[in-house]
Amino acid sequence: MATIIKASYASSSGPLSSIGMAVFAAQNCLAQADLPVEDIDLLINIGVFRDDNIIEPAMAPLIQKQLGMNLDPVRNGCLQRSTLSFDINDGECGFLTAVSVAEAFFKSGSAKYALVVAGDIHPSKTDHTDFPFQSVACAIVLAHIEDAGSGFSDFHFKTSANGSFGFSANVDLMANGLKSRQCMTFTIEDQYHDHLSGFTSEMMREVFQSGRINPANIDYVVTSQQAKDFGKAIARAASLNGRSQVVDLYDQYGDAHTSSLVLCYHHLVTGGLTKKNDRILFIAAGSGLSAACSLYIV
Amino acid sequence: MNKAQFESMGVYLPDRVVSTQELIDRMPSKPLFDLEFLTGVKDRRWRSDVQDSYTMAMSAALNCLKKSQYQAKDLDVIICASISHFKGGLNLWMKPDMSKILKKSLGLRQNAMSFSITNACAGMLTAVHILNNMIKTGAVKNGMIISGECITPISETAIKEIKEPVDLQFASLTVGDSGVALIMDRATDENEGIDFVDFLTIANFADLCLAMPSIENPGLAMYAQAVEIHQEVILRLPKIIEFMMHKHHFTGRDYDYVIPHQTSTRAIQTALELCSRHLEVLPEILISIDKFGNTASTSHFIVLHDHLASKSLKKNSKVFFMALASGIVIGFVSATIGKLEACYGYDH
Repeated sequence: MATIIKASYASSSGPLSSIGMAVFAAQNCLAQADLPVEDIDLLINIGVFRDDNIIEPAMAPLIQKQLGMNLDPVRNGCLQRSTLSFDINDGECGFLTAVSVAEAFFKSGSAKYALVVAGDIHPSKTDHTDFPFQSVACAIVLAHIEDAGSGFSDFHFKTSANGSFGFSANVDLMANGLKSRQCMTFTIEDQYHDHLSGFTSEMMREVFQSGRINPANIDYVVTSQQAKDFGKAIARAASLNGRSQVVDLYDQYGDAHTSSLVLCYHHLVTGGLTKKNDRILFIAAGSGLSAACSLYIV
Repeated sequence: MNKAQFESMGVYLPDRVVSTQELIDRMPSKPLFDLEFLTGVKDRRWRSDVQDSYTMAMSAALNCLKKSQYQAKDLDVIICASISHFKGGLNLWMKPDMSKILKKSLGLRQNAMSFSITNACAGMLTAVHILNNMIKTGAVKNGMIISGECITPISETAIKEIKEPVDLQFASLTVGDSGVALIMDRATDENEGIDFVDFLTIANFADLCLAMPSIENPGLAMYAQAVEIHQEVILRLPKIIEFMMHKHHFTGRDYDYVIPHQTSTRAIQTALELCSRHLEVLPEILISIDKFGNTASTSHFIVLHDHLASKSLKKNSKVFFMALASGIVIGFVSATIGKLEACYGYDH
């Protein structure tokens, strides 16, 4: 049994709203999947930065509402069809965390289809110059199939041991006062990208040395996009020297934060670059320092 | 497939007790109704100036690890499930997520998973759903769910901002601060552990309760249409219970206790009495809202802690946890909690 990607969508267009972007991407993705909205059992929002710094409810139910997804199973007389929605905050690693969570729901019989969405935006809902990411809406439909020869496998997660986070974002409600809905402070430590690249390539070397993923068989590498050639630096340092091609969309999209991995995957698929049995290595890296990876066989 | 269980639990409650009357006394514009009588909330715990979501979560985690057979380095995953994620005062941490900070402070292995989830007051029980599935399917062997709820800042805001006899911020006066950490692992006894978990989100009412920074005063505010939420829930809960009973093959007779989310004593009793016809027998309802108020995502486990600590529960209790949260999230966890009783010194 394996977790596969049934459809994906990513775009830098869309409304200036974290909820609106997620809804926009989800609608396009569901159309690609040719799946009725009611079939989604699990809706996971992995976006971190949200409209007005709302902390309750989770973004996911607000997204679910705008999608018209199983809004009221009791009133509709159809409790067999319902959706559970919640947010996962794991920064850039959120997509791979969501896939591993969805897989546990699939394998235990708690869900058949999962929709993962993200749409990070500055809380002011503007193209704020302080926002160090590019707003990219993304959505992906995950499903479960019996064919064990495809799908995601070999998840690895790692966080650095020391007290440094590399990158942090917070909003002090007292210091920012009445403007706190529109504020976010971003702190980037010196040489963050170099440290993160080194940390992530070290994790990849450990994974390769463990023998669970063979670096020689990778066709494509999709990574977080902190900087131009960020993924290539990780691949090089991890001695991923085979035939694999590293997807780098930094020039076109910048750092799409939580949407980066889906954006890169979507680029491969829409470009007609992948074929059955291709092996795609997903590598996420972000503040914490944290990194994650998983192998996906098309 | 494996079966998961609650292995140990640690709780942190601030020492300071603040009564509902004290809050009312501080309000420039006092309510026309008796808030304590209406909600059943007499007291709640209140953080000190140096406490926040992080410190309360840490204290709960250390208490939990003292009772557990596991050390931090043995844990495969840590899931932070609080609504509030304040660290260093009213400083809302967005990145890295709180689980990373807690993971490092507690000394988990570098290769342990760590992530935060938010699902309003259903956060901890949603995390139970997630971790239950991860343990059942062998993705992890064990893990810690943690929540430090620093939510009395919404009470501070409500005291300043409530001006009308009917105000969206009245529910903000019922909350209390706390921290809970819960370790789950594989059950070795088939009579122990989690039988089923089932959740749904009735998103038609997703915007009936919103919490965000206030635009009238510095701080956090919650705007809740509490009466509307209650009405929509009680209209639907009996049907949902009936559906779950058929799906998971249970009646009220199967349980020793039911632990609902702690909103108000009257709301809880009304809702459960409407369900009692379907349940056949209504199990004893555990409530500690009088002492601790609504502690958000930790509420079910604060109630459980209160009753475990007083040694008032039957041995090997079977408990029906009922989540009710903004979203609107409705969820159920069915579990036998003998291990938790043992870690509270019950003699089995």
